[in-house]
Amino acid sequence: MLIWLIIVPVIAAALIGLLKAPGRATALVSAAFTLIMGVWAFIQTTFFPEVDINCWSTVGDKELWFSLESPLSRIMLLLSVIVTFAAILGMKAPDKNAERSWAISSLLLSTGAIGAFVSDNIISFYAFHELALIPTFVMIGFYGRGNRRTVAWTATVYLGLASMVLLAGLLMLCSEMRSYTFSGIRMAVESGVVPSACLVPGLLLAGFGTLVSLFPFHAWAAPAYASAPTPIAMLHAGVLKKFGLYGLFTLAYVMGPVCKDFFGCWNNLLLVLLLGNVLWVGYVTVAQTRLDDMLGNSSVMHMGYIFLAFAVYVASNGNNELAIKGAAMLMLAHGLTIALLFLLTGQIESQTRTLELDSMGGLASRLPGLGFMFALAGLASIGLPLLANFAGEFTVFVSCFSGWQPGAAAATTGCDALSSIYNWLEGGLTGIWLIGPVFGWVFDGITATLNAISGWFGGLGAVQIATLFALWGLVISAIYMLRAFRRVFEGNVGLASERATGLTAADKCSAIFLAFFIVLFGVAPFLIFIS
Amino acid sequence: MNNHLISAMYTWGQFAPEFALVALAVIILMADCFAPRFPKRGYAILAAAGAATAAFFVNAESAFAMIACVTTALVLLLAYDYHKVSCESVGGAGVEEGTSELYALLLIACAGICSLTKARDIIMLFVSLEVVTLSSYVMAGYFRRNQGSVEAGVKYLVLGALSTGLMVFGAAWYYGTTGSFLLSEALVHGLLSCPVTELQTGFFLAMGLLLLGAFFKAGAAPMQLWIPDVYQGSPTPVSAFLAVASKTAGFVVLLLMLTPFGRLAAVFPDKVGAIVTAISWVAAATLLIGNLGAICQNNAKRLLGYSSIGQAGFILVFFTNIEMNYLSEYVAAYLVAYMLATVAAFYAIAMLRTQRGSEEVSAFRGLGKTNPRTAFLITVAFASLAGVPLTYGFIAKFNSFVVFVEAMQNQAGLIWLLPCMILGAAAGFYYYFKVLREMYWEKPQEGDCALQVPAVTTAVLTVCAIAIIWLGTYPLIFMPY
Repeated sequence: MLIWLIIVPVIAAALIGLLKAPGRATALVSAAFTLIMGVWAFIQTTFFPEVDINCWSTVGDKELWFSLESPLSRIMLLLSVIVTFAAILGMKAPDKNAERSWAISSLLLSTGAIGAFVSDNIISFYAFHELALIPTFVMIGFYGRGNRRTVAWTATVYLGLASMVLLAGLLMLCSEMRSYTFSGIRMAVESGVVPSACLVPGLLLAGFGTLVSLFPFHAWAAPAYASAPTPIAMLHAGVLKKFGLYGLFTLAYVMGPVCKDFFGCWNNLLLVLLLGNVLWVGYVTVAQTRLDDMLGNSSVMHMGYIFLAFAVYVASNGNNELAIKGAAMLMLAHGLTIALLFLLTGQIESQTRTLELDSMGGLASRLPGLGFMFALAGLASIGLPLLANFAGEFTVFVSCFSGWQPGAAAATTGCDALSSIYNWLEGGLTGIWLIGPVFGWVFDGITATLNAISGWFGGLGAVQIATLFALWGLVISAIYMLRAFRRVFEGNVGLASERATGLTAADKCSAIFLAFFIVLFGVAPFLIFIS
Repeated sequence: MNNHLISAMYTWGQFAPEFALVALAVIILMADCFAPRFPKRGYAILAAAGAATAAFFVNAESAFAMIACVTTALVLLLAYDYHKVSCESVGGAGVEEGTSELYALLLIACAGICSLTKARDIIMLFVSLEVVTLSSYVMAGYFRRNQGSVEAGVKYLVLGALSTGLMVFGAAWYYGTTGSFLLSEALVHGLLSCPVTELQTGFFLAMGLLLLGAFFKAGAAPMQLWIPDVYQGSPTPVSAFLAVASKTAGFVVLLLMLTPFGRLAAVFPDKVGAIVTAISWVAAATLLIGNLGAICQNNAKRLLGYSSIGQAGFILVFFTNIEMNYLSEYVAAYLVAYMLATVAAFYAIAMLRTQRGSEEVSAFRGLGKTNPRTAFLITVAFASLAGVPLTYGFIAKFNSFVVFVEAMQNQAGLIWLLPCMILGAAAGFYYYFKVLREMYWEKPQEGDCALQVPAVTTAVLTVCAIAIIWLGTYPLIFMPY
């Protein structure tokens, strides 16, 4: 039955595009359908384990490439349908034609995301994600804000190259494991096939990493989100970007006991890079002067925590249940929160005609409802307890220390892995003048620093040290988010805020709809953790 | 092995479709002379019907012959739509005189490709190939009032003659070293196990020269030089024919000559490995030249020229896994994907040339606003060329990657080709999207009214788009078993 989640939005898009059906209404019907279907699928597969879930992966007597066997798939499906519905409900296009294009793009984007999340084989998993890049490209280039074309090209080149690198990695992995399905890879691992390390996981991390805006490859993300029309920003930042993390976690999950052998050699480098996400991009976020730029950067920054969970999961060799659950919770929570924030930003812009933080102020006295929602989303984003992000972040940070005991540190083993990459790189790069030695210095430096820090902290492991640094990110988020709230909503009523007239019912509904789930999963995180 | 044996390999009945095609061409030529009142456009329809019928009869024998016939039929329909420009460029505006030979020539070239797929020896191969090439020379320069077309004809003639010369030279060496014109596994086996190394050297020289001829047709480096100029200058239907049907001929020749080596891969791993290495070099050069060269093109036909080189690179990658069982099926599937998208793209270009008078990429400007439905169909075609998922082009390109990764299992030294493929595919996204950018990002200029899309063009674009999406979606949703 999962096929209907793919087909219905495509039919709706075709109706809008080819037969000139009304854009928003048709899309809304389709989104409502996928919402009901997706929530139903989630509830049935999660809370009624005795029900046969095969009905989801077949149509008639034909077997589909889709399945909901992995808990992560169900959670991401839930996220996709919720955000899609909210994005389409809150969509405000400048005119009728634009509305049609926006609706088609949103539908295709969400189809791509849903298809990728429910695929149980590498080919359609990859293909559906690629599909979603087209509407993103067209929409940013045509309806974006600011320097839209450059931004769209940058994003396309980054994502296009990353996808190809990813494809190479995935195919090499599949060829090694002799299977193109996730379950096939798991079976291969169980039958004793050990995938070779270094190159393939490196390609996968670089490919997936770029798609998720991992630190040195993140330059495309913030400008693209800032520039994209609201529904596209919501869907891309909220849903589609999780594709990379979903892929990494799913692969690590199916590899189980060999995931450390596979991804392990990159783990320490990954720890450094994710600190780049949390700290470097965090400080960059603080320095932004526009609300949309700030949110774009903050979304890049928060990916660091989820990568941290991934590093923990790999370091524990797939034994750390808490890490993967926390990551799933955080992906869901971050998707909902950032979607809500982008939605509210769109509404703020339509009210004030500006997003420059300096020219705003006092909007809460005009539109208290909007102010409340923004405060809720902002506080969720910085991890206030009883909101969904808190459950995710807290679990991730706890998982970093689960199983760790004072004194029994593993810092040196981590650093051994680092030196093995160095050896490999040196071997691979022999003959390339300068690059080999430079990598050598960098890696020696990282190793020495980690050893030194490990000494100071009484033998913490690399993961734990990284966690201590990453915790500082919570403070950084609080700084920029609260400051943005103060500048936009409090203080004297700015010139821009005087233009504010009021929100429509659809605006309010879509925001309340997202906020409802943020609160729901914050108060009752077991709904997610159970799966 | 004497020539009686060769003639015994073929029967007259086997070539019935080819004879029928040539007969139809002759009928058209005669009718053109003796019934001057008959509207010349009618011959295009007649010829298209003939080629389409032939597609059913060659079907059972070879997928490649079918691709050639279907392409020819589509190209003839395109020529029907392109009639106005044909008249202007041949006899002057409104004068129909002399436009119908083109249709006959297309049929003859198609017959050449069909008979090529049945060739089992070098004589047959060469003669069939020359039938295609000679008619293509005429077609490339067919628009005699158009300087670009004449230039294309001359360039094609000069470079094509060079390639023919190389092939003849190769055929001579082939006969000299093997004493036969047959293309057979036993012959290659005998040669490769022969203790006289000079004989082997001569044989490899022969193969090299023959392959160069095939590369010329297929548009692979280092024989790709003619492609951009000739595609740009030739009449658009002819460009479409050269881009698809003529390329098919090139790959048929490659398959004919390389299949015996693939079967012997287990016996002579070193020698076949050397051939694979050589092919991987050619594939890498082709991928890079085609895809990187296309980035800076502004003329749509030239862009498709470079794109056809790039796509040939992806097809050549299949040949790195030369011992694979389904090599020709993979190549044929890729060519079908390429045909559906490329023919549709040329239809779009021809329509813009007829109505906006331009073949630049910028002629696509604002189509998303003025003709949203046609723009969508064109988007599907270009997305398929770029390899966007849910189009058949994605499956084709994906197969190329899959087959290559399998090939790497046998020969790990090939891995350096992978970055070339990645770069090529990523560059493809860039330059094919230039067209989409023109259609959706640019506003229509003043005076650009909505295009009047001819019925034939609409029909072909729609059929191509449906086929592309259907073939591209089905394997991604349903399990193959």
